[in-house]
Amino acid sequence: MKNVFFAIAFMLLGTFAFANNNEKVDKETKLESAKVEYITIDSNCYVRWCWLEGTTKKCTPWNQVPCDKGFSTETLEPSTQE
Amino acid sequence: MLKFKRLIVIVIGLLLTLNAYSQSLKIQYQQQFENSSVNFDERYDLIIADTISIYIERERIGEHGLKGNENGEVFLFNKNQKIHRKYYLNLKEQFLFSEEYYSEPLLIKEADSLLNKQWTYIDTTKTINQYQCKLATKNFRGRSYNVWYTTDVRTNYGPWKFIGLPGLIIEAYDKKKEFHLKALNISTLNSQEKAEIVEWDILKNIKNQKVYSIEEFQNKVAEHRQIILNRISNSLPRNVPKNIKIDCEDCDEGLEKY
Repeated sequence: MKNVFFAIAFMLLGTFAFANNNEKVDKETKLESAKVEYITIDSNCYVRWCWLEGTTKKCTPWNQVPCDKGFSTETLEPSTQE
Repeated sequence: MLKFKRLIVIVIGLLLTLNAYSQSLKIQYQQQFENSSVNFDERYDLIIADTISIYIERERIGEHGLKGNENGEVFLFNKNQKIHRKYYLNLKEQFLFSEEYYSEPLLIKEADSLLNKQWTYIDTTKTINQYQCKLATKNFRGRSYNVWYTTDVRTNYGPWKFIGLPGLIIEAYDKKKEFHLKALNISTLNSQEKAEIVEWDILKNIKNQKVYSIEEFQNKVAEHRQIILNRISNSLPRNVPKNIKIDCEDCDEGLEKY
């Protein structure tokens, strides 16, 4: 009986560890090859995100952002949290 | 018993003849694709062995991938990129290729109708390195290609998705001159080298991989794209409209237009 409980406990731990690891890989990999582009035109600031689909560049439209608050990639990076 | 011995001798003879005719070649290619949006400079090996061929990515040269806009700054925000090597596998009965989309390597079956599209042979020749080359042209997925091949090396296999010519491809480019491919080195594989080709593991592994049709592959890419757009939308500053759609007027077309 003890052996059965140990086996079940190990299986549960193994499943948890595997599921946890899978989630981590998923979050880390999906935003590779994406870039933030930043441009200033006539004192107006714009940003957009671009990424690759195979050999094709895809981008969001330019979005105006406040220039006076400065620009930090940290604040603009898409969150890796779902 | 005598008949059986004869049969064995005949079979061995046939096998030896087949082996003598089968050519195992390794051709190193430089493949470049550049427009105002992207820059790819890669080295590939085309390995031709018996009845199959593999065209496999070996190296990426220089700044690879997206170019920044001319006036703006560009920040790469995931430097820990995993690199999955691209490959194109011609198994005679089907043509498979691997591409990385959002870091997931997908295995896709190429549409037979496109690969079987006939070449147009042009009556002109030129010498590239020491090879006398003939010209063939083909329209494929939105581009018009000029392909120079030599009948000095007899094979129907070729680099990338160029197959079915009566000789080895030495140079190929599209008419816009954005795609360019050329052979750098041609060598014969000896039996030991052939046995040591690590990439044949790919053949074992594809049996366990999902193979996408072109349509399924397009759906998969669209699904990934939506994930990206959702993430970007969630992280935009408050004063930026959240309903973003893809609208990249200054981006060029990719290599293939699906």
